[in-house]
Amino acid sequence: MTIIQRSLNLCSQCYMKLPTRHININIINPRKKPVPTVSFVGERSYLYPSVYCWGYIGTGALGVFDFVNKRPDPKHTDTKQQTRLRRSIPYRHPFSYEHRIKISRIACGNGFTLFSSNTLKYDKLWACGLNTDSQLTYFKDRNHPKGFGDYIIVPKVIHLPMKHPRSTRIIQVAAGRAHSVVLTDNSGLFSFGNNAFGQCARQVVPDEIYKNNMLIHSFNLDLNDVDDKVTEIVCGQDHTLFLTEKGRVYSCGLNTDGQLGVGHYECVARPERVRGDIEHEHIVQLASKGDCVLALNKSGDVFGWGNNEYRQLGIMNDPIDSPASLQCAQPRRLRFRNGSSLTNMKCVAAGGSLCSAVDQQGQLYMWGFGLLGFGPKHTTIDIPQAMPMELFGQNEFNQDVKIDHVTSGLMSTAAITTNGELFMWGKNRYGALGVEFDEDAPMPMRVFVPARVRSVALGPDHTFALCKGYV
Amino acid sequence: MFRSSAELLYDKLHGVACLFKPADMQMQHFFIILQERLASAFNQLPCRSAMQRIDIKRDEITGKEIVVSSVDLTDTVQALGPRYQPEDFDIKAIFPLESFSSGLQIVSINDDSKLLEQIQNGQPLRCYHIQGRLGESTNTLDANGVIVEKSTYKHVNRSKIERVCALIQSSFQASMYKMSGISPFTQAGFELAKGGLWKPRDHTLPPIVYGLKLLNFKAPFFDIEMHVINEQEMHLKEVILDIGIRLRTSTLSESVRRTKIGPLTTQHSLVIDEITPETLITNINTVETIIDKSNLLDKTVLVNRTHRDETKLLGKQPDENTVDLYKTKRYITHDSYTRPIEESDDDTNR
Repeated sequence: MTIIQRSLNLCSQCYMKLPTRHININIINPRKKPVPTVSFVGERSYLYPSVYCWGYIGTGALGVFDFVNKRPDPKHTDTKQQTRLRRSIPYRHPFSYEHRIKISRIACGNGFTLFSSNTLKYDKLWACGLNTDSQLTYFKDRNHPKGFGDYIIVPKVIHLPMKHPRSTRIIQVAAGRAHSVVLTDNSGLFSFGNNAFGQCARQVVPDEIYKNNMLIHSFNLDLNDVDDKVTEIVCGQDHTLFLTEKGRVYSCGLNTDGQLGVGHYECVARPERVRGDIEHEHIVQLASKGDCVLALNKSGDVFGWGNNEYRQLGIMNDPIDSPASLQCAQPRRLRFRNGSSLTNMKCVAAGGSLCSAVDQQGQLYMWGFGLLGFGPKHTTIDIPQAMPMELFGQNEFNQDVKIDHVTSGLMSTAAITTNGELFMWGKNRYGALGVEFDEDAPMPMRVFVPARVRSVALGPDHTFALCKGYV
Repeated sequence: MFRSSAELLYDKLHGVACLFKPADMQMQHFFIILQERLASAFNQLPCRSAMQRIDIKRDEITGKEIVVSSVDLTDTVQALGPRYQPEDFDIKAIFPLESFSSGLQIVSINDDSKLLEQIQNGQPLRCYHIQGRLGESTNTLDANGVIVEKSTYKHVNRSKIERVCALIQSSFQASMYKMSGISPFTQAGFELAKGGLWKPRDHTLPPIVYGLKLLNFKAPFFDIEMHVINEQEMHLKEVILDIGIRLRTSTLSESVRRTKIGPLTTQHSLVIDEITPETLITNINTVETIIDKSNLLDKTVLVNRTHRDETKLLGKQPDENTVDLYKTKRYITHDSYTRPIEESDDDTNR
């Protein structure tokens, strides 16, 4: 703030009025020159989408050099330089405006982040964070002949082995616990990282060492239809799901909870078609962050499979207490204890132990176990419960508040309203909720991001938000 | 003794009234004008006549003592001055307006009841209409100052201002939570948040803007409607400046007008030219009936000091009964959730 505004702040605290008749103009404008007109926004200014990040700094997942290696402050006289391990308040990532890159997708895994841009240039994919399982591929440099090591602090470019890099765009990136998958429009799919259960869609090699692994697996799915192509990829903790244009689902990876939906409980390395109740449905959206998967079809019905220990998938034919109902290997339409099933939904999200869905009117439903957002007392709900819109700011001054979509992390949830406001709740690990306090949030709290939030990517320890400014 | 009409009128003139202060006039000056007008109006009515002076004289002719009463010259208007002086009308005000702004002003005239304090505790929501101007910024943030900065504003359109207003409004509404001192980690805090907005009864808190809306926009002028509590004039101008900063241009306030205090609007107020004793008395009656009918303490929250101190400690869950939520006319419904783990007891029901 300028000196003038700072002194005015002090004046407003006392009741004395600023005497307007006795302004000494010589202080403000001594030479009495005419005030020039400044232009803060040029005629051809372009609003770059901004990236905000917050959460755990230690793994380098936030990708800001100054957080990890704090430059020694000449004002600090003590030798013990303490670096804070968490960034609880949103920070604007300098990556986007420093290098003039328009970032279109962000994916957050366990301690690492992937950024992708929709360009045709060579540099399309960047990554930072943990690299113990080569989930960010192997980096080597003249100065680092044996590799970059376990942590990448600043986002580095990943060059994927594409045949035509100047004519391929990256459509999507997805990150799981220790693996990453990239979807392009011309050159197929790429995956790298941990493959202990086949989540990278290649065969499991026994005793494979994933650290400093130079392998990037490039593949295409065996789709039954010639016209079909993969449009979306979703990564759970140790499994990967593929969604095609015609609404079919393929999956590979860990299957001990039945999260692949293929009817058995053994790991699958080659992506298989998911059948069951969704065999003839046109699936539009998939959601999975833990071991439970939710799918949304075109008409708004919700299907699910995978882990059912927290009653996320409703009731089925088996009685509730039998061990057979704890996992569900076949996709089924969700039906709940009071006979209802979710209809007319536009967005679903599945976290570690809770699920959420948004319907066409913008109402948010939560069910499962954990910090659902209804206060610290109500932690288990097995029938989807609507969240009162007053928590998201609906009152007599703000009549129309609707949720646009909801995203789930492992232990926290984020909801974005149509106005571009971000609300987060759940466990607050290392400040990943973006609110200033360190405790867990049992009800939705507003995250103060000074821009309109378009989408948010949640990792267990850190969060990234893709935003657009106001002017 | 019969009382004069002025005295009868003076007895009726007490209570809380609602006046419209003109712009660019200090409030003290406004009250002086009011007092002088009332005094002159009262003095024109037939006032108390001079008292009679009783003498016991010895009549010269008969030699007996007789009682003679004559006009007491020390009690006449010519000796004492006008019967009613401006100091006879004791005017107090709450939520004082400063000289730049105009609008509603609640005053109490010759009032001994605690109605003014009750109104202040009830935190009635004040509504301001502020006209701002894009492109110029002064040192006092209003049109009376010296221009410090000029900038272009061609990029600003109506939807951008509305977006910025929505951002400012929601960030203020979210900070209302923190300012009330209510912990969001308790179930009682959640039940309170479910009810929507509330007003903290503490006067020492910073201002909370509940509603911020753009009314008109015709470049470079724009009109903003703002609902606030705990505000002073400088805070309103700061909000206009904040809008300008977020729009990457400079702004200043052209005029500030208070249009509502709680249930009272400009229709219930008296302009300075209309103020006579009769109109004031009718105004007092209407204002007091309106205030009686409205639930003043509706949706206000007073938090105990212990609750505030306990929430400052890390990780401690304070006692849930320390929030004093005044019972509102509109009942906050408790939907029964399915099978919560502990038994649910209604903490907010008193």
